[in-house]
Amino acid sequence: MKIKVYAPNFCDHSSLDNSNYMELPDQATVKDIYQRLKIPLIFCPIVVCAVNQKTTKISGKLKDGDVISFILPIAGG
Amino acid sequence: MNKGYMGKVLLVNLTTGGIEERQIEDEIYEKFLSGSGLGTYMLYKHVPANADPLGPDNMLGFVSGLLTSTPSLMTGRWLAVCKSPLTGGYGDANAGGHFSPAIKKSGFDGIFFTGISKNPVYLYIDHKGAELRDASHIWGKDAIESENILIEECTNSKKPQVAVIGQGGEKCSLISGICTDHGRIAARSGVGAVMGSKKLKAVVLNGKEKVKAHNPQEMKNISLEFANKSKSANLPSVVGGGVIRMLAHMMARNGNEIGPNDAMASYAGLMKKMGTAGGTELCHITGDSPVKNWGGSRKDYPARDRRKAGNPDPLMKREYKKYACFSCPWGCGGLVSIKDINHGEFSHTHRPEYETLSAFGSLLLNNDQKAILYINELLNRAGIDTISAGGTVAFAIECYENGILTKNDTDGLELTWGNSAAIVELVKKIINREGIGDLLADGSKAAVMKIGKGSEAYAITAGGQEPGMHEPRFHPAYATQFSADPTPGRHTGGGSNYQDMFLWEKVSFAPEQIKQPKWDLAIPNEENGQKTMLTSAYKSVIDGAGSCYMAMSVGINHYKVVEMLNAATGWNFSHDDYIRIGMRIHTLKQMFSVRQGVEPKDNIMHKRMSLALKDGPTKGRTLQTEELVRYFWKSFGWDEKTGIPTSETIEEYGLNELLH
Repeated sequence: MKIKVYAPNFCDHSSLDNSNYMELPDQATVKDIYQRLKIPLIFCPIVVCAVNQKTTKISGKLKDGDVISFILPIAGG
Repeated sequence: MNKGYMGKVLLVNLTTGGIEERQIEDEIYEKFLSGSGLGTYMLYKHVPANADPLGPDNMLGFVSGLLTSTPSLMTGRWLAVCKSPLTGGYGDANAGGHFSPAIKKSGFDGIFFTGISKNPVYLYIDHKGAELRDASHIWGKDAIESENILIEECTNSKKPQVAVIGQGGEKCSLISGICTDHGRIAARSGVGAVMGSKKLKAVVLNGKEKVKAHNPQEMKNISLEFANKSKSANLPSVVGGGVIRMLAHMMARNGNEIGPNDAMASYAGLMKKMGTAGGTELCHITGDSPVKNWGGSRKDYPARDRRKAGNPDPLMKREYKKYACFSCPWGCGGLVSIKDINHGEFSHTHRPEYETLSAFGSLLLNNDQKAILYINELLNRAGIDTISAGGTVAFAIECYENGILTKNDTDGLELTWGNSAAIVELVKKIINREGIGDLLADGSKAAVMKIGKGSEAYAITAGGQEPGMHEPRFHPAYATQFSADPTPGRHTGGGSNYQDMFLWEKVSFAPEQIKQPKWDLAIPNEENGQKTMLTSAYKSVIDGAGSCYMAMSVGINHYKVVEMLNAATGWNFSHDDYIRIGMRIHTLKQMFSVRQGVEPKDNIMHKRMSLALKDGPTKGRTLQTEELVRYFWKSFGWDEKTGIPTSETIEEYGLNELLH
């Protein structure tokens, strides 16, 4: 499946294409996103993942077309 | 009228005491919206060329937003508009709180003053009408004290909303603003000086008019969607100064790329928890904050100082109450206790904004957070802009350090970098126009005219206004917007947030933000000019709607201002149409400034801000500011060499017809 990921600029973007899409197998979870972006799982409590603007647990299942963003205490240019 | 706006304005002539209602045709709202758009239209119609900004011909407007008081969210902003005595051109200042809905409840979209009163007066409006009242009993009192007296005096079945000047405005300090909500301030452009010059102490509003929208249900649906997104955006409790510091260092190391970014949850989360103050140390670390009067770098303001002044944790410990502006689901405001500072002179102050923390922190190499809190309250009460005040103090310190000012000039103050006790004393002198304070009370550009001796090297302004606390060497869009916005020095043009706004998904002529090296944005070219133009035009739409800059920053897909405007008015305008409205408003602002004698190229920011820093995350970056500005002007359809709107552009926007 294909999901859109707006990843923080300090993580590894190599798994994203130029339009910020990431290919993931069916049944993938939020944990897979962290791993693909190489965000250490220990950071989960502070680099919080939101799926379609809703905070989601690391075990949360993803579906095709989901949009992933992160809630960080940093924003802007 | 079921269109969101009230369809009329109030005109008050303070010389004659005449008060007159004026209908505004629908076409004007369709072309300019309300807020800064309507304000600019009124200024252009009523202020003659080369008017004395502190004379009777200047007009001062208090304008609400088109969406204010409709079932919309984050639409509680109002604008003060006038010819700026600080820059000589179009000026506005923007504030939140609860004054904006009060303007509309009075039955008007804007209240405009011309003339000069003989004695201090205030305007009072309730359901019975409007009248000028004597204000001599509050002339000389600070803004908060005056507001309390007026609330007590004017409360009937409900409390009124008050916009008022403090000592800064009364003494016509060119860096003064207008206060509401006990210390919030529409600070920029010297709007307070214009109010003071008119002997208008306050505007007190206690009306009961209802605001009606075309399709309130549709507006409620849009608002509910935004409210739900806002509700679920919460930073974890573990996030504090330490976490922000760690992430900031990661960002400083790896922040050389820029790409589309969905920042809705981050903005909402950070603002809800800490307000703009939460980003202070982050901005110091990433190189966004100016240091040592824009000439220093992170090395001059090391980690120990950054933590002492910018760490949000001590501020949050002081916070005893959060508050929100009208119709805002975020609530980025807070009240903090300062009973332990200066023998408890004041019990509390508003949690300082990032701009204040930086202007009196890194800009002055000051690490004394308590002194900044105290200064924040002093300036809020006096009604003086903390950005311009900080910039002016930085100017004075650098003059002192370089022997241009001596102890004889400073009334004995040792004006060295980071000397917080001297900075506090200097601020008090500026407020009261005492000694050296009188020299500095009109900002650094005016001080240069009096001091001479090469002091212009240290007066860091754009067109006479001290810029907001964001480094163009961190994000080059600031160079363009500081230099080319009709209100020069403006930091809220949004250029640095283009990647968050997703305009390219809705506006047919907006270039897509792809992943690219961030410093590519400093290359003067058509695309970069277009991007900065688009955010400026979009900001004019936001200011016309009465919306908040923070809402604008989350992007056009989340904050659906276009859909809300259509639902409020019954119009069926596209995103392209609204951006063109923003371009029209911006063009009229520029036309106003030019008619007042401003040469746009003179607004280019001080050359120091374009030169390379020797250290820090932005080390070695230089800016071709004049070239960047050229492309920005060109994108608006203004002459790329002079910045003057071309006759074709004026024709395209129908401005000749609309204005005559």
